[in-house]
Amino acid sequence: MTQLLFILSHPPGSSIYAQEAFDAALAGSAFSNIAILFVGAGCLQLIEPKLAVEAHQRKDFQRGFRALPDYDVHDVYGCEDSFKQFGLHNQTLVIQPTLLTRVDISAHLNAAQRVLCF
Amino acid sequence: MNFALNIQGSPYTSNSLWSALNFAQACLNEGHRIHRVFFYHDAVLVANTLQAPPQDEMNLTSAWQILGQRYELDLCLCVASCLRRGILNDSEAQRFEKTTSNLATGFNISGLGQLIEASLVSDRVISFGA
Amino acid sequence: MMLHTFNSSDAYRLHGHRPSAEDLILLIEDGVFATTQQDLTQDKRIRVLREDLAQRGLPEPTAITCITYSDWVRLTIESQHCLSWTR
Repeated sequence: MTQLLFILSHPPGSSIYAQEAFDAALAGSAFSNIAILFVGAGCLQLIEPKLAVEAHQRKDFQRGFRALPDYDVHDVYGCEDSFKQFGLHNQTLVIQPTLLTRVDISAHLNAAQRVLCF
Repeated sequence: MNFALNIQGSPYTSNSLWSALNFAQACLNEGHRIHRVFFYHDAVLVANTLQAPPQDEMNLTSAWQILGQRYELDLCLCVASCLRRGILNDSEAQRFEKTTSNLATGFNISGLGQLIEASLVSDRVISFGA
Repeated sequence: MMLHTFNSSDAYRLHGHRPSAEDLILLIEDGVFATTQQDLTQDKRIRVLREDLAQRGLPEPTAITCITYSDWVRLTIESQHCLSWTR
């Protein structure tokens, strides 16, 4: 059962918001059974960064998505509508989340003990 | 009921610290408890004691201090957010060899575990996004 | 039932996950500007935070339920989860 569902809805890029939100999710995984849901512009975090690591002005935190199984995080979801909206079906992604319809998302929200929005 | 608040917005480019303050006051007026107020992202900037806003402006920091003192609230800042943004208590200032600390009284600095714990034990967790 | 708060009109217009029919929508902060930009009266799920309208000098729209912070607290108790959608 999902104790904490983390909703990540901010794009990567100019703010550190997305990176710190992911840090919160990782902290959550240390204490509880978590799930992560990428929604809206948050789905843009999943696009594979194209620059070399040293060319990034900000930390390439999305690499951490690949390590989620090591943190025992296996429930990683993306909003199907948002994927369509941002054309993500044709992009190279860091990881492929399980895509959820609007109805699926409501069901997951209902089943989660607590939801944290970032 | 027991609430946890997760505040994320900056003092001057977001309304989230004000919204959360008013929500917390209403919550306490209604007789509910607030297990913890957790300040994350730019919201930690509210605890910078070196701010000197003009006299004719509302002082957000002191508004939180007054509410916190009156109801003995746990006003907890994320340590990683604080270190990035230069909000330091005495021990962090010493550890990083800074010339001063600047954590306003009434606030404390701790880890993200405090947000997770508060979320799990409270009946409701309310996020105030940036 | 979930309570979805929106703190900007863009967040309200563009957010990824559309609230379900039984959910409630609360416009706060700059989200209250949505009341000046589109006709919201058909959507009976919508609530608007009265103080934030007043802060911005906006009139209370007729046919939309305007609520106080205390009402907001009560709505959070009636809701299973409170979801915060931002810009």
